[in-house]
Amino acid sequence: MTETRAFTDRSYATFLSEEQLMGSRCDGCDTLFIPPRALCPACHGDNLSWEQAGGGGRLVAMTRMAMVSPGLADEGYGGDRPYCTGVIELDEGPRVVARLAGRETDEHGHFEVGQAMQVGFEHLDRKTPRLVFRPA
Amino acid sequence: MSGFGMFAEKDSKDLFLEAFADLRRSVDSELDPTDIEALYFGNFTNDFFVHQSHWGAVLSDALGLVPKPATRVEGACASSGLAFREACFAIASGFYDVVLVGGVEDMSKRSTAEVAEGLALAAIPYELDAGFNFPGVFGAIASAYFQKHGATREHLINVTIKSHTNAALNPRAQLGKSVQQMMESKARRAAERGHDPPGWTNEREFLRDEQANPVVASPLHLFDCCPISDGAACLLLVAGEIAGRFTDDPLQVAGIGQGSGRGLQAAEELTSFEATRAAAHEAYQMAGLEPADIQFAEVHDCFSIAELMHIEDLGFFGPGEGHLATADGMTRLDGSMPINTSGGLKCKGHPVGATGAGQLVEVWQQLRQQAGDRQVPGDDLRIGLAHNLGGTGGTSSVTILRRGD
Repeated sequence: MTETRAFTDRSYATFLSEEQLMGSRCDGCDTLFIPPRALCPACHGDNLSWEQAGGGGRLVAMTRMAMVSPGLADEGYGGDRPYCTGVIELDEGPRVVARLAGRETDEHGHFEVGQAMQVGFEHLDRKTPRLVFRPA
Repeated sequence: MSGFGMFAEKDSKDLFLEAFADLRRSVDSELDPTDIEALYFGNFTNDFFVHQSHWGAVLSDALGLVPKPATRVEGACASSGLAFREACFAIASGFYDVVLVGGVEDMSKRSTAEVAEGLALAAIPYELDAGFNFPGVFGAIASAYFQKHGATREHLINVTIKSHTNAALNPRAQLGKSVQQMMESKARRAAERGHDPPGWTNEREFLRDEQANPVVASPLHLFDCCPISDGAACLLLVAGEIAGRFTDDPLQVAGIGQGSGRGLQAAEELTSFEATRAAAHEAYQMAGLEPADIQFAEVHDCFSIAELMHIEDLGFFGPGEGHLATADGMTRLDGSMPINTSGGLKCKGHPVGATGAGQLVEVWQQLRQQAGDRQVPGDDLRIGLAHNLGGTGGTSSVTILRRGD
């Protein structure tokens, strides 16, 4: 069945809540966008199709956050409990920004820029799962 | 410009009036405020910081400019760089001859975490969802720069030491002490309290100390980040043919440029800002100049890593060479390409909406040989550049000022 949802951030978030990392591919110039776009910024075409990412990628930038925003402080993060977030270049080409999981408690290791990563969805006590990437 | 710092007793109106009084003192012939035809100013998000918007009306009244038009320009931390460009267009079009242009921000009435939240309003929504704030964005960018160019934290430390060294020569810097001076005052305080003397023997050791310089967003530490600042700055922009009414030594706007860029998920590269490259290209073209013609520059060093990227994007050094040039001392006050002689955002202060105008005040003072102890050496100083950046490289402006013909 052809997916008919609108190419919006809202749809992107809904797909993530369904544990799918989805983007849009331009029918005109074949460029893939994750998160999805409704207007292709490369050729300005507006015929696009939904496509699911395989979930594999490579970490291209990361940081370990010790000073956190008030919302995340409410979740218990801070200087004593930093979290890691980063930029993942997917195997298909696009980059996504996402929280990193699997090594938060590793004091020294952090994550290595360049290492292979795999998409995941963290449930914790949140109602909707959170997009994360873990070492592959 | 006003003082840059944390002023519990002053609001944006007070700060802008202080900057305007400073401007009036600096005009060689007297400025009659009734000659000012319009006000353009940058302000990012006083709406959030002090819960007050619509500053055009407040400032034009405070300055006695009513009913002349006052226009607020928003471009995140590049707001007043953009306001300056709009003011240039207003003059160049022939519509106005005398325009007041500046910027203001009032940030210190909020907690540090709230300020970070306010500044994050200029990030890309996907970045916020992933838990980034601005130290985080630039921390991630630093990790990519390190990996691509083989740089390390030691290269960031070079930037920090240089910024503080310059700021110690700037009486208006918010953080006006060299790293060495800070170490000495901390050692004195420890002695007064009967504590063991700190073990650092040089500036690098101090900056490597996780207690003295704690991590904020790896690999960035406290001394890689600019402070929270209140402040205002303004300039008088007039048509070339009437500049002689105000001074015998006017500076010319040789080139202006502005560009846009994308966030971490879509940017062309993680270690270069496309907005800066576009703005610089436009400004150089307009001025008929090359990067090699620029004699010194104020660049948007919101974080130490940012300065390394900007000096590459502006063409002063090749891609990946910024950290090496800085290590070689080329960007110091006595180097071949002095960068951030004021102490930069890191030490002069970063009241975000006022920063672009504040940078131009520094370039103006340097070109007129009025920068005191931090004056760029040499009496042939003619061309300086200011570079202002907003968001995750989302907006940038570049302005080139020239003295004489």
